[in-house]
Amino acid sequence: MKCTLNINLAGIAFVIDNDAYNFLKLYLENVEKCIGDISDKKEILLDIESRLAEIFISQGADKVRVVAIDNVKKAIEVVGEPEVFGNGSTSYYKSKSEVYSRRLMRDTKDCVISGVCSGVALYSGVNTSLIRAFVIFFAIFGGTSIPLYIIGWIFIPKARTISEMSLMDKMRDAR
Amino acid sequence: MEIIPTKKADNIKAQMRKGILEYCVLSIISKGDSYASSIISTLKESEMIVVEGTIYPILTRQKDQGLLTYRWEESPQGPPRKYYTITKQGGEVLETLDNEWCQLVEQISKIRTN
Repeated sequence: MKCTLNINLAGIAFVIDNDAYNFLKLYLENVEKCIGDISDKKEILLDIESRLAEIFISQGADKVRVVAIDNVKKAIEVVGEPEVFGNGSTSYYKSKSEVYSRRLMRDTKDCVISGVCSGVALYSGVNTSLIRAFVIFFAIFGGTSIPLYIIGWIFIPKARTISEMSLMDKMRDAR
Repeated sequence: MEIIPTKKADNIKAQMRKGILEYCVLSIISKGDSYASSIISTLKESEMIVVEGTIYPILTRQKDQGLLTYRWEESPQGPPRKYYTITKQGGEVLETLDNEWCQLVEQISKIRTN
């Protein structure tokens, strides 16, 4: 069983699986980044959305039949990966793992006490050991890092859900 | 061992085709008003493109340069389609490109036979 969403693609309504939606959204975001900051960005994006809508309809999507992730993947195969929309010289898009929004969460997969240090390290891209060393250093000399750590423990949420965990993994891979 | 030379050739082929893609698009539209998907299928038949995406930025650019205009037409299925028409200016540009192409072919055949 899956959750579905209602989307409007170039003025046509589709019912789409949640995972297919996320995939499509990431694709369109990457396409947008690859097109770069040109004045026609919106127009090109709309052209692409129209084409995707056409493909989904040709695949049999309608009010009853849901757009699944395979439909999205096949449509992308036809239209092309985001890189093709770049003009060659400016390839903003490097790898799929690079394009996502970072979030500050406690990393319980890699923790000594509660994962504050490793979470901050993942978020900032700094080496975890370095952050831990800082925290220990300022805990011994002056003790300022102890209350800061506790505040972090209280206010930084733990990575709980599958999507949060996978976001943490992505940030880990990107290092 | 066979794979590497083919791959290299593919790369060069792709570069060559990329350069003349704009010319092809203009040429196709000059034969009659067309919408993106029909232009794409013509290009795919002649193996000029592999994925459709490359076409959209070109169409928009040529429209901005005043070589093309478009009108909306309802489609029996799906969203309305943009039908592109070549402008007078586009026709003139196409003519120079046609000449350029003929010259290129001539020059290259000279190089090859020498």
